[in-house]
Amino acid sequence: MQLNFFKYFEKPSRLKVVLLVFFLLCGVLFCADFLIERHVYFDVEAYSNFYSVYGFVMFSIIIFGSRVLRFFLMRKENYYDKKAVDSEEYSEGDIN
Amino acid sequence: MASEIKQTVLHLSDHLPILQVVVPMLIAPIIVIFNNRLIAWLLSFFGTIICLIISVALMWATADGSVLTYFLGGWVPPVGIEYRIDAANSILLFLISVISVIVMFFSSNALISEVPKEKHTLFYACFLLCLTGLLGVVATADIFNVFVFLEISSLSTYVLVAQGSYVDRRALSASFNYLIMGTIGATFFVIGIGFIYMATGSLNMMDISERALELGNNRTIQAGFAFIIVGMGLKLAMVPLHIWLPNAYSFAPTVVTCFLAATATKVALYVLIRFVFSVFNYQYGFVSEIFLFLLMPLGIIAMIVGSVIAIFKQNLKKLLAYSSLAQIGYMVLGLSLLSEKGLSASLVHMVNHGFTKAALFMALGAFIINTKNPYLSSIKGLGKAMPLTSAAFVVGGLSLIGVPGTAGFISKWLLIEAVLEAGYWVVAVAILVSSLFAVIYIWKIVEVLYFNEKPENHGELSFYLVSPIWILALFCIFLGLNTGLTVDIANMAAEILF
Amino acid sequence: MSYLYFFPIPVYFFIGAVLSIFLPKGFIKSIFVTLVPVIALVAFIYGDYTNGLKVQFLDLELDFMRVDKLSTVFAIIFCIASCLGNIFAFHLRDTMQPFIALVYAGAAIGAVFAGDLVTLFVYWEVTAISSVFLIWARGTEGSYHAGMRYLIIQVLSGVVLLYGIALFYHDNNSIEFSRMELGSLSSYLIFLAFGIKCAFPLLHNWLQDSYPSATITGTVILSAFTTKLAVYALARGFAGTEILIYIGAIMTVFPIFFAEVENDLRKVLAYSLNNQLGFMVVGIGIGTELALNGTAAHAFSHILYKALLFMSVGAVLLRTGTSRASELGGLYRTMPLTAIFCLIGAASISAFPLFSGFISKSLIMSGAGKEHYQFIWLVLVFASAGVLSHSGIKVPFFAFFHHDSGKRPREAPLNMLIAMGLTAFLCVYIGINPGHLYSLLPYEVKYNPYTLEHILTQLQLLCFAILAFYVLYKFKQLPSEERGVNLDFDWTYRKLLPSIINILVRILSNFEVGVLKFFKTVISAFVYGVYSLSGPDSITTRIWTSGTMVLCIAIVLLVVLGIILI
Repeated sequence: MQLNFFKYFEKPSRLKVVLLVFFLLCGVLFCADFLIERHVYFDVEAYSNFYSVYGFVMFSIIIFGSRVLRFFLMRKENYYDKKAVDSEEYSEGDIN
Repeated sequence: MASEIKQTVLHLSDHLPILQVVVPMLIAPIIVIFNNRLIAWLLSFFGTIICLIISVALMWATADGSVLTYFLGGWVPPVGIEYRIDAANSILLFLISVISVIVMFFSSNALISEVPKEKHTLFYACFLLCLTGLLGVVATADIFNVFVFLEISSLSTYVLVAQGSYVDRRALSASFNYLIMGTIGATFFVIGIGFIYMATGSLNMMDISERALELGNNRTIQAGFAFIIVGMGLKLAMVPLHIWLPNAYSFAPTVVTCFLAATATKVALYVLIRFVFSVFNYQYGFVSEIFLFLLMPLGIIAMIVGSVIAIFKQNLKKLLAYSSLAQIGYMVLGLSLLSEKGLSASLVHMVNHGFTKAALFMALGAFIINTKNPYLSSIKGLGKAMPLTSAAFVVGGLSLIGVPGTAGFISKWLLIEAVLEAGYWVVAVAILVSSLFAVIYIWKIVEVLYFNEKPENHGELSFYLVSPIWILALFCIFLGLNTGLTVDIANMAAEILF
Repeated sequence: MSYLYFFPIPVYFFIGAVLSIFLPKGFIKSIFVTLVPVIALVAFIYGDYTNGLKVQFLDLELDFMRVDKLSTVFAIIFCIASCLGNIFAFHLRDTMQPFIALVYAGAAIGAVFAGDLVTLFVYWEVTAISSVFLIWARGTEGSYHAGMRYLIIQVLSGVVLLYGIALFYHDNNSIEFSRMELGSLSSYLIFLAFGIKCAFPLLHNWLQDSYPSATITGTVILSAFTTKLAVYALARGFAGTEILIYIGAIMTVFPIFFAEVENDLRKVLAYSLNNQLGFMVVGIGIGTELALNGTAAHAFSHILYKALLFMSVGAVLLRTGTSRASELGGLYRTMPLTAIFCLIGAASISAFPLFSGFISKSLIMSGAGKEHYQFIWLVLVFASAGVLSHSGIKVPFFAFFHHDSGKRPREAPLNMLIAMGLTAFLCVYIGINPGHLYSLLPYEVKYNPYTLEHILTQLQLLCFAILAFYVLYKFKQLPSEERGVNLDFDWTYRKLLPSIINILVRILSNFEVGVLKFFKTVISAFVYGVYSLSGPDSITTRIWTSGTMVLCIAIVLLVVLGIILI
């Protein structure tokens, strides 16, 4: 088996480090917004940390919105047709 | 007068207009005398090739818009019979000759499966007479002569259609019905001629048109026109006078169907065009009224209804026959616009549809040689068993639908252009709708051909059967890419007629 | 050599396609079909097409090779995509798929170079008819029906286009394909035809229906051409048409939600494709030089990273037999390379700095900003977060990480790894050296994506969106992966329409029976009229007696005489 980059992070402690680095990055980005002067097209963009907040909020809206959507639109896989592509089953290698 | 004859003897080329008609007519009795199957075929094939050569020469000579006239026996019209070749009829002479050569080639191997051997000599004789009639109708400029040739072709056609009775006895009743209808049509036609002769005292087309102009608004001529319209409407299977066509086409031997579908109705339509533009003045109120209020609606109805019925048909010969009705609708529609563009579209569609339908019927005939019946269910999977024939069928089908790159597209494009020029938006939509129906019935066949398991006991046919089919299929593509042959000549013809 | 350059570029593809039929299946054939796009590209780069390739046809002037900067950039990326797709399909031992792949790519390139509407239409239909075989090649009943639906819609687009062209020709007496104004019926029809192919909202379902139904390799090839051809056609014909901005904005938003709840990862990618098209359509609608550059650049990079994503999911599908998120997970253990390539594709589509999406999408965004479309701009930023949610996180996360599905598939075949590797390389290369792509664009680019503030804001947006993902994941608020389908607008024609037709047929048949009973008792003669349109054995088609025929003739004669003499 070749060297697997991902396996290195399987250990929970190492994964925690990765997460920590990520949180740190978020913090740095958040702070950097106050230090760097931004050129803006719109007023709304000028609020400090507009992008951070917008990204966080909008992502949450997408997740919750899609759950509402699923509540109304989810059907069984063979809803349209017993043999529709959605419900086809394969095992390894027998699909072309 | 004598000096004129002497002069023409010297140049064979001056006699081409009459040779075009006389060659097959003379060969017909010869093969009956020999009464040998092989010689009959050889001579007929030879005769059709000569016809083809002559027609090409004629087309060559008239392509620049010039008109060849030939006085039969040296008698000058209006007393004598005149043959008159211009761009409009040279292109039809070419169509008829080419189709006859290809069909003749196809028949060498195909006929045997449908007609008993001992009848072949007479079959070929009849075929040549039919060819004579069709060529004669197109070449002549004498209206009574038109009638005579029309009857020659029709009478032999009845016989040819009846030959299908060795496979299916219903061919006899189909032929009988056709005979009655055809005879009524011819009678109407001759009554019309009688009226015209009564009013003008002439039988020569050019002469009549001059004299009719002097007579002005003459009731006799108008009645004559009515009879001619109905008579020709019968012959060209204009809805609702089409009833003979589906049965005649579907019960006749394939060879005959191919030939008739490609030529006979077109010739009748040509006669109508000739009469409208060369004999009657199309600017007369009564002519344009008829075209606007009768022919155009009938053409549109034919377009839609023919296609719809074709969708439901399981018998493929009938399916193609009904599709022919729809296509005739297109031609009638083009003509009924009474514009130069419409006329030219109509002429181009005659030629293109001739090749397309001949290719389709011939490919279908090849299927039937293998499967012995014309039903949709019997051609299952033949796309894999007979790849060449099926591919040719698909090419023909595409051309029938009017896919770009095929002949059908050219004529439909011209027709839509002409219709839009006249400002009939709805009619253009009807053309598109009818094309969509064509997609459906062609797809129906293609699906059965290709989306089924390969049948066990059928294989590709011999070279002699496949090659004529492909020649026609290639014509469909060639005429779709190179429009010099059809469109330019048709434009020239439309210009001359107007 | 110069005589070779006489050919239009698509001809190379068509010749190659025909030749490929005769080559033995296997290594030689695969090598050959991979080289054909390369040869065509070389021939194009070294060829001289400045005067076009004009042909007189009827009274129309056709131009097979209109080469300008807009068509060049699309043609180049189509050649590259075709080559990469064929490498990805290298392992196939099939006659039809390589043939179709070349014809399809050739037709798409031909359409891009079409200088007139008639040529465009011809290639338009060829792309439709050829590509459907990539769906049918899957060989199941479901794929047959999906292919038929696809074909019907694509051909319908062609028919609408043809009718539009005919009207256009009638109005303008020209078939030149250039910028047109929405206004006349003809322009609306052409616009509609482009819109169907471009998967405008409510016209979009063919995309999500057909792409996941194609073969593994077929989907990769399909994803590159059809929709981008439509984008090109819109950019050529309707640049600066304002309504496109709003259409595009809707297109960017609604697929996000569908992609988020979709279980089949290939369908997720199909929705994401739709969303990316929205960005390009907005760019076309804005129509400034900056925005059009953005559209072209985004199409270029989009083809690459979308192909990369489809390739990685395709490799998973090949090795595990499924692309459902609910069945997958933890595949990084045995498919690490595929996972890395998928992450690169995900980073590119989410527009992380140093990846290709970053340098192309920002052109469109600042195009919107410069023209002060504030609302549209907010929508696009929202959509950027959305892209991250489904393509950037969902696809790699559920396929390769998340909980362990217990599946231990082998790594993808070598040819797929090479194809993914090359595509991934291009994605990163373009991201790092935007100048090369920018120099290909239709207009001069005076834009530098790598400013500190731009990198900062983009990272803020993405990182905080990922943070939101992490938080929601921890609180188990993400939509769970469940097997199922989600209704979309195709419900109208896959479910509603058939049931309406069923009901109508039932009503009609009841009605017909009633009517027939009524008429049979009242006027039996009229019954024939009711039957007459219903096909076999009806009055129009059965064998008539001679007497009836003659009656018919007499009636027609009377009508004719009536019209003339009265």
